[in-house]
Amino acid sequence: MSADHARIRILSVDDHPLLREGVAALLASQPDMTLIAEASNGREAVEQFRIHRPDITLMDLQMPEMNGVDAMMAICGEYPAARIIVLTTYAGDVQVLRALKAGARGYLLKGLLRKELLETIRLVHAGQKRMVPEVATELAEHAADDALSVREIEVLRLISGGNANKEIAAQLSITEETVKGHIKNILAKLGANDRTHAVTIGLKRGIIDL
Amino acid sequence: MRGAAHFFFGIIGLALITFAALRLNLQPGAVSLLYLIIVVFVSLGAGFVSSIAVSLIAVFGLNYFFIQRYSSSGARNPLDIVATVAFLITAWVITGMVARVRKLTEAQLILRFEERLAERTRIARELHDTLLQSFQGLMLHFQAVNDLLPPGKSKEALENVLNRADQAIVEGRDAIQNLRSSTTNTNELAQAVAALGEELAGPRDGERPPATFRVSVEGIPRDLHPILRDDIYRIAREALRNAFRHAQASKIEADITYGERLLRLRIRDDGKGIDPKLLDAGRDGHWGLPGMRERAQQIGAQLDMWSEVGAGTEVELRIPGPVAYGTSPGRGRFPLFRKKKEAPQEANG
Repeated sequence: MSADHARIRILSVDDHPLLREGVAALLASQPDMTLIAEASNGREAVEQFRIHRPDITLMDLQMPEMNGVDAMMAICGEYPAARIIVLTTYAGDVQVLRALKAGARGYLLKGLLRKELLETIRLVHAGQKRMVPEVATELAEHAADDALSVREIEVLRLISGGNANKEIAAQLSITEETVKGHIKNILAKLGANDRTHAVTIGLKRGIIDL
Repeated sequence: MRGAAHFFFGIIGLALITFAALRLNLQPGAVSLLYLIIVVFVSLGAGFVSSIAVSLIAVFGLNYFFIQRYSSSGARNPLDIVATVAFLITAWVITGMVARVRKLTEAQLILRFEERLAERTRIARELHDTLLQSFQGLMLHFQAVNDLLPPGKSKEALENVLNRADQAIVEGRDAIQNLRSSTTNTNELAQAVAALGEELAGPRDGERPPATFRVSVEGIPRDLHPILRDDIYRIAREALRNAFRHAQASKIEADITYGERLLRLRIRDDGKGIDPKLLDAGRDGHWGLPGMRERAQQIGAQLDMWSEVGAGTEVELRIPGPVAYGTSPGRGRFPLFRKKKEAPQEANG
């Protein structure tokens, strides 16, 4: 059996060159892995996937043009057997859930990559799912929580942008009273004391992005 | 009644001016100018009814004491009505203009808060997108090098360093996330200040027992802009830190007053006090005084400190209500000069 044949073929997707380089450097020293392609956004990732059909795709979430979740949905829609591992900075449960729904088989924090990446690639390639404990805990903690509605997420995002109720109402073409109602629901669902607290929780749980 | 003090001083002012003017035989023109100052002063500070009342009293005084109602020939002097109307209009216009300028300044301050929040968000995003990603990428490079090293001391040493670096990056990551949200997790200023006091009073190598700490709130707590709240919180932190660390106080108190016209934070201790000379100079960043003043200035607040050796210290921070709560100035000022489109104001305070 030729060595090349047994190698795990990997596509690395991240908009940050230095991070891609790091991944490449780490993979280069592994006899059982080979980096076959790179992409710097979701759209490129889908294209590269079609061309190369990698065994494993390493996917960043926050990227320009097309984000990681959309790219995963596109890829998994075409190739349901695709094995994708998400690499991201924060462990918000909502973000994790979104990624898992989109078809991720593994979820890694970038801060843990140097210790976890290689093992995770091998595990996922072997057909397992893998999630680091930090992420799993986060997920379990909020499993029973009420999810925010699409509208509530919109409102939360506008709050995080520093908008007052009046401005939020104008932007969403709803009344200020309705906005207040949404905010009340948001606070209750997130267990937040106030608007700013809600934004903090929203960021932490990946409901909204930085 | 709102602005009762203004009204009261206004009446006294009018009486004094009238008395002095009669004694000194001042010209009606001079008297009306002095009256004007009083009327504008009251109108800016007090409610609509008080302003009208003071204006009418001024008009009456002017007519009764100073304007000749009848000319020598016995006919009614037409100038008295003209003078009265001119007086009222002038008072009204000046008040309106001053109120307008004040409001613009407040709007500008609020705008500045928004800018600072946006700026912070931008910095957080930038740091996240560049520095953090680069470091995480570099860590992978280092790990690759580490993998190349043969087992031994140098590999161990590098491994240790990398673990440290991991921690540093996590700290950086969390700091970036925090930059985005505010330092205080709760909008309730009193709560935040109370938590602060608890934290500062916490275990020390204390040869003396920690000071007792009490927070009291007056008025209905209201939402503050995150940036403003942050700055108030930081000023409070500095003041409390001084009280707990340096003052050797046995009692420390924080009062928060949510007034319609003013948000006030007062922190008092019964400690050894600060030399007033130091208080003015704020020498060498001692007690973080210059920082507090700078912060207060930035948010358009007034910071005052009183202290004497042996007599404790009091720090008072006052922020105009419209700036603090991000609302337009209170009701009852010459309505014509207020913007027509205005949200109905809740009747609190």
